[in-house]
Amino acid sequence: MRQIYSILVNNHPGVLSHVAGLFTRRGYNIESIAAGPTEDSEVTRISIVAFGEQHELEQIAKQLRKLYDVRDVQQVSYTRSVTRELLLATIMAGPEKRGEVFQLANAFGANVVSIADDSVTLEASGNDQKIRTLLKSFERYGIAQVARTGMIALPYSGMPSDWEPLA
Amino acid sequence: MTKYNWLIKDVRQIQGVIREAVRVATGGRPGPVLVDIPKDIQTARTEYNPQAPVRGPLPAVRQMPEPDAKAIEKLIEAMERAERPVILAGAGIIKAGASAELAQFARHAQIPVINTLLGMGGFPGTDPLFLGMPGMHGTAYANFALCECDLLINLGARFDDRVTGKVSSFCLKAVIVHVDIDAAEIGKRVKTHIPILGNVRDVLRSLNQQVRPVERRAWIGQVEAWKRDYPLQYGWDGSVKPQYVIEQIQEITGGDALFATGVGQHQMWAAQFLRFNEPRAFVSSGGLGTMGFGLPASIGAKFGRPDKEVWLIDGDGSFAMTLVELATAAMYNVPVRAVILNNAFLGMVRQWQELFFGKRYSHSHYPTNPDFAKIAEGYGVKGFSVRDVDQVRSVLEQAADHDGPVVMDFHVNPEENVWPMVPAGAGNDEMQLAPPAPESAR
Ligand SMILES: Cc1cc2nc3c(=O)[nH]c(=O)nc-3n(C[C@H](O)[C@H](O)[C@H](O)COP(=O)(O)OP(=O)(O)OC[C@H]3O[C@@H](n4cnc5c(N)ncnc54)[C@H](O)[C@@H]3O)c2cc1C
Ligand SMILES: Cc1ncc(C[n+]2csc(CCOP(=O)(O)OP(=O)(O)O)c2C)c(N)n1
Ligand SMILES: [Mg+2]
Repeated sequence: MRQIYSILVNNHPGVLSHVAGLFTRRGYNIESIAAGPTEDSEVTRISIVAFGEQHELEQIAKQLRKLYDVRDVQQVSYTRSVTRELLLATIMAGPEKRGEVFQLANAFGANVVSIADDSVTLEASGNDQKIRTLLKSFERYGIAQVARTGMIALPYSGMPSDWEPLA
Repeated sequence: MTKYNWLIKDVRQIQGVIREAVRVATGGRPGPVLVDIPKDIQTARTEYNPQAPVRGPLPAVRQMPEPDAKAIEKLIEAMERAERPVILAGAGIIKAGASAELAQFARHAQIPVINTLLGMGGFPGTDPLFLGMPGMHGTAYANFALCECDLLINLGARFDDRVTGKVSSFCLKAVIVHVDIDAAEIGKRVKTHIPILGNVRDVLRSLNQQVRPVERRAWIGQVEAWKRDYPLQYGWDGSVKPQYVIEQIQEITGGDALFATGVGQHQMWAAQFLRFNEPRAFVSSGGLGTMGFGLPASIGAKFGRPDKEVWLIDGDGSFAMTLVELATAAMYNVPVRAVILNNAFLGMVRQWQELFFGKRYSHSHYPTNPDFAKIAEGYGVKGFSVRDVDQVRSVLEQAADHDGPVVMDFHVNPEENVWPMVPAGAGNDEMQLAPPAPESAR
């Protein structure tokens, strides 16, 4: 199972390494980690995507809550949250392929941020599914390099509490 | 290791940080913290202000919620249905200062009590309801009770693997209740049917107001039969048996003393054969199991409780690790009674090598151990060396009367094993009892 943790921490030096260290020491796998400021200058939000069995995921949350600098831990479900990730990818494409690449990029709402003789660098944001599909569709051109920010998430506000996603 | 640590970068932070450090160390589940004070800060000057505020705003102090009344109700219902309940009382009882509440609860509800290694002293060792230690080197009757109980009430123990053995065969017939102040301990290793988050003292107080007295003749009778039929025992062959030395210490002190230990076989025998009368009477390193803990711990215990006799029950390997602290004992004339159960082995390691590694005694034998009595004398501390079982009692008595630190080096049977034993990775139902004892000469 995959789980997004949205963690509010005190904005102190060393906190990120405390949080990340908890995962590594206990042998939990992190898929991505992203940290940044929030509306409150004393608080940082760390978004972590991790894998594990259900009971492990629960245990991670409990352990996180024990850390001194952790103020709040939310286990965010994909269906009850907005998730976004920013992608930069350099696609191998010389002048003759550029047209195709631009078209495909357009379909994903991706922007061209740089062009070289033999490649095009794109910027795209979206949820996990979109980023993966995008990368898959460009595979046949050759992808020279990829940088991803890792998932950030906010729980939906204004969702009726009995809302269920369609199967 | 620590709950939190601080690096002081400005001397003005010291007072606030120290105050905060104490709050964090003692709050909730207590644990160590570290304050790192660099050299330049140590020598800097500042004004002392007893009311200095803590640096910056405090992180939200997590208030421990009142224990959930519904969960406590569920526990009471489970107790009313149960025919074979058992209490597993851990270090949480001692940390909460809840020994009196525990004794009242157990006696009122007639439930036998098992103490983890670190829970020792949380329930009187002489109480008829006391079953001793569970798990790897627990008593046979405690492990039988765990295997047979239909209700397990865990009060402040963290279900350590030495206690549970193989989790998939732990307490299979029981409804499991876990009272703990740390949410991360509940359900961590053992599936819990009735979780109760909170201070165990609050939970016990609430229980004591509600529990009705009952009789449990059949179950108590069963437990007593196990105690009678499977007591702790050891063979007798004329050598100095470590268990015998401990039994003699128990007789001389009546259990009315503080006991520190090192880590190893001697530690297990101390837990098995001593009867602790009060919380914090047993000072031992369990979770980390740090050899060398004993001598400094015994000196500290005497400073903390000068009204109490303090005995150290140590192994030769453990004692060697920190024996330089004899200098401290001598300098302050701290009257600790240090007993070395000297088997010239890292005995606990040797026992595993004997039982699980075909007797390949690798790096565990120390035939060239020094003469610890002479070392003690070198520090100006009284030393005894004992090889003859007939001298055991008299040396212990002389030590008990000595006004100052004493070291007693007992050359015990080198290949004595700790029994019973649940092999590592096995379930408590696979416990091996002691090999049959030869005719006792006692
Ligand atoms: C060589 C060796 C052999 C050992 N063999 C055994 C053995 O056979 N049997 C055995 O039992 N142990 C054995 N041990 C010790 C074992 O490793 C553990 O250290 C011990 O079992 C832990 O006991 P505990 O859970 O009571 O204490 P701790 O580990 O201190 O846990 C205390 C628990 O109480 C909770 N708590 C704290 N304060 C409160 C409060 N106010 N209210 C509620 N809860 C609270 C804590 O959150 C924690 O979960 C051995 C150790 C060594 C080194
Ligand atoms: C500092 C440290 N090193 C190693 C160990 C592993 N260990 C556990 S028990 C033991 C042997 C202890 O020997 P001794 O103190 O002589 O006690 P005995 O078992 O012989 O009673 C060892 C090496 C440990 N617990 N702590
Ligand atoms: Mg030894």
